[in-house]
Amino acid sequence: MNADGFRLDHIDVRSLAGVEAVRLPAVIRGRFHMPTWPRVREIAEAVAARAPSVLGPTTDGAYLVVDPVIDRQTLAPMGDMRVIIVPAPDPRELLEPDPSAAIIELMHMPFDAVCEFVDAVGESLEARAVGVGTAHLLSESSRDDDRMHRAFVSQLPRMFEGEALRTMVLNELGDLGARRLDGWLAVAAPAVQGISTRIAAHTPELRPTKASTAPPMMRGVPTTQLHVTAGNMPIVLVTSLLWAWATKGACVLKPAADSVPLIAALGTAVAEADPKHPLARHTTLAYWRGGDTAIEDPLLADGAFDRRVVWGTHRAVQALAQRGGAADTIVMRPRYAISFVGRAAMKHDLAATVRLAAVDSIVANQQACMSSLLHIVEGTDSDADTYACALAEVLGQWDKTFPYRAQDSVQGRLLSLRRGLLASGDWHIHGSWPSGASAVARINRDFDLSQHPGGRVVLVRAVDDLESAIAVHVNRNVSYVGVAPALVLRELRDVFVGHGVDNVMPLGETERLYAGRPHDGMQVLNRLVRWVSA
Amino acid sequence: MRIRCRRQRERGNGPPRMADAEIDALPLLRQLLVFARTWSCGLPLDLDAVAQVRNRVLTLNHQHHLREIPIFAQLAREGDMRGDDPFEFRDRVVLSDDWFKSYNPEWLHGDFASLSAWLQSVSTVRLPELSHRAADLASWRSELVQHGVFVTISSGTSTGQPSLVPRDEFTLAALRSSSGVRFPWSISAGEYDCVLLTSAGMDSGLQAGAAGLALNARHVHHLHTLGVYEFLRDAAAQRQKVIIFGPPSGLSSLVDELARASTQVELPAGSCVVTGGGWKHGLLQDLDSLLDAASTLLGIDRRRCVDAYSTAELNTVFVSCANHRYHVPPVVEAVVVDDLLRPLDEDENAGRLALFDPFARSYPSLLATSDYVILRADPCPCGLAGQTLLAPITRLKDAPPRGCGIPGLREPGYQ
Repeated sequence: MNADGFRLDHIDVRSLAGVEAVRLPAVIRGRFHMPTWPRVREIAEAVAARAPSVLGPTTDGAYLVVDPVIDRQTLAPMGDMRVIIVPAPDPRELLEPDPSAAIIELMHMPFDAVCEFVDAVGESLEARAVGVGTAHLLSESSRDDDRMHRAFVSQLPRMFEGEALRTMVLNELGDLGARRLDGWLAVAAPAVQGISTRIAAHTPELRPTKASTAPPMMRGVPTTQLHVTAGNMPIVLVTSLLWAWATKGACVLKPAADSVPLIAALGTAVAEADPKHPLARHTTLAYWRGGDTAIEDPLLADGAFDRRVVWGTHRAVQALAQRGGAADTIVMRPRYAISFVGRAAMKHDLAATVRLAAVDSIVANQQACMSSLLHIVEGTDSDADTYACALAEVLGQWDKTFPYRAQDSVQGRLLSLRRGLLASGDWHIHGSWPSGASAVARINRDFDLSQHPGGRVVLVRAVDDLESAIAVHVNRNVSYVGVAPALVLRELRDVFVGHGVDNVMPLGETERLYAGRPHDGMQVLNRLVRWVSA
Repeated sequence: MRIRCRRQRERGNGPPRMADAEIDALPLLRQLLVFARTWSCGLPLDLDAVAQVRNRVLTLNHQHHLREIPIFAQLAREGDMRGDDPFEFRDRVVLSDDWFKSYNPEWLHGDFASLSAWLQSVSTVRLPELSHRAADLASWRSELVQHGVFVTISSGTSTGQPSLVPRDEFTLAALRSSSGVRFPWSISAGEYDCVLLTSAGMDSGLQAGAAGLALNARHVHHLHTLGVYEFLRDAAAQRQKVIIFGPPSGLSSLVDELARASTQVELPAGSCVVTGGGWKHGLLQDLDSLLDAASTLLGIDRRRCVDAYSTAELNTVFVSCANHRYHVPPVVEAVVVDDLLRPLDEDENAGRLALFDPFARSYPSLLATSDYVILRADPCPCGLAGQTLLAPITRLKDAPPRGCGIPGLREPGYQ
């Protein structure tokens, strides 16, 4: 790798082997590292299969992230391919050369400095660092409508706000916990001496000449952190980064292949904000192919990191979480959402209810843990049929307003469901489904939602009673439920969380956030900090 | 196989009548049976002529299914078929093999009225008003047999939900006779003894095949009963040819027992071993090694120790040869389909296997399996003509494994 500079407004693009090739950096402890251009033969080999893939490391130490170029109007592949070239990092370079020194430096950095830095990063992103180039790279291979990308890109700077970060820390750690991030604080509880000390105190020949009067103290200490983030939404990388900074962590973050362009934008913003800032000098953003043991073995070795955050599929979670000995590993496992629609909500206003329900199913085109895959409708089969028809109409409107086209593999799995396991359901299909359109399937059978491939297909089932349905349909794989009406939500929220749901939300609001909210049932910041005593 | 004309009832009312398509298809199906037998004996065959007949039957089947299976007709409409190309259905309405799991699994616990209704919705079988006194799946199936409907059950161990494949008499007869396919070294009826490695019953296709073999055997021994070694020893002493048939797991148990025996059994020339039904992980040997061991321990020509590929929905078998290829009888067409269940160009030969089976009369004939194959059209060195699948045949990535109770990961790749 070359420790070259990088300019977001001057992204290096060439045509090699007939495809667009883009060279993007890694950011290793605040410094850009650019890959060497690969050989033409390697580019040709990478695109030969004409399918999304990752090749590498190349002869000169790069990964080639290959994607089809998507027509922005039709959201269908154009036939062209694009290759993003990123450096394959040396894992030894990703580890802090002196972890203790890093921790001490970060520990002594006031939290105010963290907030100021985050503000500066946000301002840089707002001013220019996100860049037309990054937005283009994110959307070029995406099957989401460009408005979704523009919405994300415009939202991105606002995620980097010092006060929001402070609120997140205060909400989660409390005022005391937040202040302990900056120093030692006395503990309110009296110290209780151990048995040996008390025996000594009562034994003249053993009694210490001077009793200890030091009050107990506690503080939060930053940790070295490895974040392996998922590919379903680029916001995941940003969320993990903000967690790391909120806890003053010395962090290494791996994006998924789809989010690689964000490294360039975030790295640029960090460099423009303050390249000498402790957070900048202890933040690494680097891509490697998941499962590459040459890189992951050193990173996952026992003691390599104090904390690990793993987002992803079951395979990713299993591959990573079981390694690394005693390292505290926070796992964000794949989960999904279900909607519960009470009789009263439909009776009151069916049209409004299905509009709310549709929003929860459109989230990330059903690829996120808050995306509703199944709508449980309280009522008769006829009620559920009516609901399904109405929902299908609204989803059809979404298809027109915010088009989306699932990958062929997702389309194929949906088609297999339509022509297989769910063939006996009543399907409401729009236009060219499964290509670029949604569907609603009214079913009367159980279906393992972990097998749902997403892609704007909503399953609808009728139940006699919502509370009884919880025991049948809700388990620890359900992260979110959207519930209507509000009264039912209040009545049943304890039952929902008792069955493993972490977020009981009003229908239509599964995407709702607040600073410092728990994630997957965990207070993540609390886990990322090492709490120490003196 | 003898295809007997049998009247089928219209749904609900009136006397039964034979659909025109069935009358047209019967002589063509008889032709295909003869073709299958000719082919499997290694005799010369005009494969193009076979294909013509096969495609004609598939077209007739397709029309029949469009008329009789409304859900299927709906899928055809969604496939945007224009109707001007008689073979466009091949590209538009290949179904998933989960078609036979599209019932509510809760019905297996006692709601056989709903199960019967479902059966009629996914196939052309028709049932009169049943008593539905059936207490379990076995008695339900028995009740259906009385009305000419034979439901084959897959193992269902992979997902816990079995496939229920409804066959009318025509289709069942095809299954039992493997649609005319014979081993080139087949032993005539009444001239062999049989060791069945399957459990008794007709639930699965494998068991139906075993039942077919047993019908024509002099003596039959089931592995799960004691005395298999003695049975084989006695057959050897009498110079009686033996067919050993069943799943690889059963053969593995047999091989283990034979290996412990003090005296080796030497079966007469003409005996054979045929395995089928899927491979179970955790067995110590791979299939080739297992067949090698069986050949050695029983003195059977290794070329007569073969594996046969089939599925719960397929009415024939693809028998392997010494060149590690599974031979597709030309009465059936094998294709590789893409993610969207569309047959790929002939140049692309690796991927998800789909089978076009003209003998599938009572249910849609174009079915995508969950198996990953390499499909070949080039001649096999063994001399048997037609399509072949290279061994080993594996499960699709993300598909639940076949065989007996293997939990599988279903996750997409981690990048």
